[in-house]
Amino acid sequence: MMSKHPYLISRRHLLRGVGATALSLPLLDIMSSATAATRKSADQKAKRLCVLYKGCGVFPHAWDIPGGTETEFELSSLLQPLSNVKDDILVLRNLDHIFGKNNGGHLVAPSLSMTGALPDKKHKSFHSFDQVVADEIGDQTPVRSLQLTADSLWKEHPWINYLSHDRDGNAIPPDRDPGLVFDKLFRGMNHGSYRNQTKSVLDAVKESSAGVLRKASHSDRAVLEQYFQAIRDVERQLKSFDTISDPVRNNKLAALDDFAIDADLGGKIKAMLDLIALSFWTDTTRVATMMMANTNSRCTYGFLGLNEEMHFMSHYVRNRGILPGFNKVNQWHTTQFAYLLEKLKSYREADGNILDNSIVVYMSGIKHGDYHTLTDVPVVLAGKGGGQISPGRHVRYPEPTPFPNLLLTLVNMMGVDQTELGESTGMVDGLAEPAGHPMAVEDDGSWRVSSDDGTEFLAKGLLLVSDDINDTNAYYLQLSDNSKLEIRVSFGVVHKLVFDAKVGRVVAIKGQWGSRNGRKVITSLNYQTP
Amino acid sequence: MSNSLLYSLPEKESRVLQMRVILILIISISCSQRHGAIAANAKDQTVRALISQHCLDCHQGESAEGGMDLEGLLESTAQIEPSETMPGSLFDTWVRVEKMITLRRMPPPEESSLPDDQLDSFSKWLHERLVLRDGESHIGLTPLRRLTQDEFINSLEDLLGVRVRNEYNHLHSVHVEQGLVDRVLPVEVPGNSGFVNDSDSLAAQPVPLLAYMKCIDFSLAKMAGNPESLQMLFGTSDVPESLSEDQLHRITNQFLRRALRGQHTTEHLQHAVARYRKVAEEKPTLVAFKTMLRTILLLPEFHYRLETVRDKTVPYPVTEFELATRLSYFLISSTPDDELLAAAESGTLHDPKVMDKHIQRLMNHPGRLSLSESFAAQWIGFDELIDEAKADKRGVPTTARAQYDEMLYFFDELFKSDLSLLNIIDSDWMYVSNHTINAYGKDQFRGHAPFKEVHSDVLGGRRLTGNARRGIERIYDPPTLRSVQGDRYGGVITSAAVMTLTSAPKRTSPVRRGVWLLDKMIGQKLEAPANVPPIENAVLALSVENPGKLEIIRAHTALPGCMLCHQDIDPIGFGLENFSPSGSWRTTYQDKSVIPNEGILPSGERFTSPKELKYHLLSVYRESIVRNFIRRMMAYAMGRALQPYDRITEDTIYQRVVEKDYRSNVVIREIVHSTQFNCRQDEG
Repeated sequence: MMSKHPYLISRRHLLRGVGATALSLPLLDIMSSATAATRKSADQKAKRLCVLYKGCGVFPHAWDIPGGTETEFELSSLLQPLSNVKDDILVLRNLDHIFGKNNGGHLVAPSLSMTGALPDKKHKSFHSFDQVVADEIGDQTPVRSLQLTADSLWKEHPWINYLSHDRDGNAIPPDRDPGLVFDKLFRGMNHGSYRNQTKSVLDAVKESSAGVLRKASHSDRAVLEQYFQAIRDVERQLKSFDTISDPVRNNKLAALDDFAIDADLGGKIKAMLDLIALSFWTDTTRVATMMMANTNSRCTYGFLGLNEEMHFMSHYVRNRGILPGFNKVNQWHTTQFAYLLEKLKSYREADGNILDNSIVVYMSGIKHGDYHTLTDVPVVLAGKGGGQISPGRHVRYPEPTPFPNLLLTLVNMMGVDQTELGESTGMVDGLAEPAGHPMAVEDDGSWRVSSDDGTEFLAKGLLLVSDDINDTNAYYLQLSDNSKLEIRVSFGVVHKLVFDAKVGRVVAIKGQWGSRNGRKVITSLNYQTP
Repeated sequence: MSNSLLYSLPEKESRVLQMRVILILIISISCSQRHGAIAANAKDQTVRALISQHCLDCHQGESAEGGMDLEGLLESTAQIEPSETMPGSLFDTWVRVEKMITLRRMPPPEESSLPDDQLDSFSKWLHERLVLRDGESHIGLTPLRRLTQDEFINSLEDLLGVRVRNEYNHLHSVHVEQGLVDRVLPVEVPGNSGFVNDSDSLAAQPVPLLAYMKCIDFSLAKMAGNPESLQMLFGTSDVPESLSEDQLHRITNQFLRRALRGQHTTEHLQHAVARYRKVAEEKPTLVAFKTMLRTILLLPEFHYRLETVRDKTVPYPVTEFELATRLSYFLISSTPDDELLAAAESGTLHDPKVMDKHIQRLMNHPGRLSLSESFAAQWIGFDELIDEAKADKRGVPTTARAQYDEMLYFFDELFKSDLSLLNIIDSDWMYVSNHTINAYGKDQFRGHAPFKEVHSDVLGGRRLTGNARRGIERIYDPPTLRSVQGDRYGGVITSAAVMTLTSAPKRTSPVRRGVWLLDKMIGQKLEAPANVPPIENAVLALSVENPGKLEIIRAHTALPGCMLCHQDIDPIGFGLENFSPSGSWRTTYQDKSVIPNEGILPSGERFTSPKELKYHLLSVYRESIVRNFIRRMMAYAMGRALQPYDRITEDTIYQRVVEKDYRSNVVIREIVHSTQFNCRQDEG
């Protein structure tokens, strides 16, 4: 049966998996008190960290919240699916990776987002912030951390598909099959007899192979050590499964609705989000990362009526006419994020819900899908983090605020006492309480054309980008007198100057006038040298 | 040939090398020979002068172009004695420099190019510094190899006499379904060698121990219900109620010998027997036996191919059992069979004649398919066609399965009938599936008589005939051998599989196809540019209204920064535009515009059909194509990326392959007889 429908797990099947006793046990509301009793009081606000990543950036106009104040604002079109949970999210603006020095490219974005540092030829990645947390609190749950991906593995550059990296920067391969993750989390290990049997096999293996390391050469020993590490990891897992009694976990699983997994991308992602919610609720793990689409994603979204690859669609400046499709996919991804939040909210815990005691991070590595800009990257937090975050707001940080500072703040909130993470320079404010940062750059009256000989000119102003989906490569310089200069330069120039990274900020430019359809526009562009 | 300089040695020297290889194999003494030290310093000076004249203007200090500081590189290299092994980072940098210079990508076209005699002295210096060590050839540090998932599963199947993967013929529909073992094991990532059996890459990936245990338990359950398995393991088709001490020792010893490939010890035996005894006190024989096997199959000695270390920094022959293991995992991706173990035990495997006999034997083994299923599939990338990411509820679609099989059968024919490697570029025969033939055009093929049998057919069982077809709703028939008519098809590069792999779902990509061909066939891997090329620039610069796809890309690649690579990539990709994203033939795009089918190779040859493109590829790039195949297969056989010190062996093999009409089996045989394959070397 399983082989015909690889992703289908019926309720009956599931119950068989967790043991027949589960069938006759009490229902959901009674069980929450049972759970509470098993936990120490200090754990009552157990904090969880979940990272959802979708690569390839966004169309900034569809993502950015157009105006309002920190607490009074309308959601943008890409964030619209979050309207039911608007009070549970905290939209963060103006956080920059490596301070926007260059265009990101696809390969470095996941690593920058997870480690706060720039990978190079030698270091494909570093210690990712979820693993910094897992190293600290992973011991408290049966499973240290959960890594999931819904995308395929791009074998040419495998590390772009990995979010989680251990202390040495080695990738932790994600699970791809929700059915198997379910087994891993809630079957097998959940049974005392399976754990005993596994333990005795591993003991015998260790005993029988004691001589191997002794006989091996120095370099062979380093490789073999990996095997013994794998044995130790399983042993640790066996031990921590012992700490929560099997029936408690079984009770919760028994209360589930049918857990059916469709094999298409949508079904797979939904099932993975269900598993994250479930493993948080059963306290099987407190750290999870999930790649919904990687930074060079070849996923297609046939169920949305789209046949192009995600990565191709993200290059919407150079490939005209595909932006509506790209926006549609991005909105669909936000819908999945909203689904997880609603699910976490539906699970009660102590006197609140699981979302209250979690931090969920939703992000996309780069901002502009085609220019790969690394400034003002899309990031939304959700949950109260056990009372440390006050959501329902929209914070615009003053520039420049390094993105790694957010990661540092989050690992501290998760109980890791650390003062540095990647290229961090400190913590961010504005998570626990309103920060009162201005919601836009303040015009000091100096935005104007300072010199102009009719062909060449110098000017300073606020940089804006076109919101016309049919004309995405137009930029405007807004001046203090509210007039706008139109900038019409080629893709190559914008790319080379990393110009799009300055959108929403003040720039001082040197340019030349030209004309377009009879309008006076800027056709040649550079920065003013300071 | 631009890169022949790199690899060709003076005729005399390479003869000496060949003879040396043979000598080593026969006498099994030290695999190296002393040439005496080289006056390295004087030669270092020559190269220093050359580099400072041609390169240092741009490649010097912290702000060096492309971050390549050649002065620093020379400084660091001067610190290394010729007798020392060059540190990995220095070594890698020199290999990059060498590639740029010998391919004549540097100095850049606008600068004066390197005169031939200077290029020659640079190449000689590199040979002494990178290929030789203290004037001698060597094979570098031998890495410890872990079994890949495929090797692990194949070994389990062979050791227990069971099949744990889904049977090809027993799939319930025409779709490919994944079996349990394929689903529970995580995706393996290829290493620098391009293959998942890369020892470095395996060492960087965690061991999926719980998944292994699941596979072992699954296999043991199958074994318990299979009379042939029990016969093989116990000598009787049903499990005896109890085992005598003698029986137990004999059965256990035999299993340990096979599972640990002749490397088992009395300690292993004692531990295994003790484990059996302990469980057998309370549980039936079968349960105790399974418990014992489960432990053995989880031993690191099973999962790692440990070899006896003699702590020598020069190549020395591996033991007979170790050689048997290397041979078996190379040719059949599985554990050595009883005959191979027996040959190793009798100490005859290092005899080239005996070795040849076993190569022949294993080439007739069903496991031979791994050369196509693992080696060729990972090289060409056709394994991606049936990747689970492409699957829907019913599994992998039939079209993908057909395209996969067309490749699989093609490569197996190449090895089975010992055909020329050049068939990979163009062939007058092909395997075509009934499922896809209409898309290619039925008139493009006729029947083809079977090739003269060199090795036995191992795929015949997949074709169901007569009674075997009854009761199956929808039959999937594997592809059949056909002769190619016309000038569209033939070889691998225009196969539907490759055309699909290099396209987006609804769109072809000439650039992807060009990059694929240069990398996979010719062995020129291009690094993606750091700055994305500005296509819009090109569109604005064009005077034509509504320019076509070809015009845009041509204009774009005329920009100086792009031209360097695109002049190699694009003409090849455009030469394949007549193939749709799924590999069928087309003459117009969707908007009815005519597909331009003309292209020009970097070397100047024009072509107007795939056939012509292939013809030119085989004339201009023949040596690169053949060497690329040899290098890929050496990397697969050794489980590591090739290094400059492997070039001597590569040269030897290349010459043999040319002498013997590029026959595929010659590559296999020569690799097996190489120093790399027969010897190991430890760190200093």
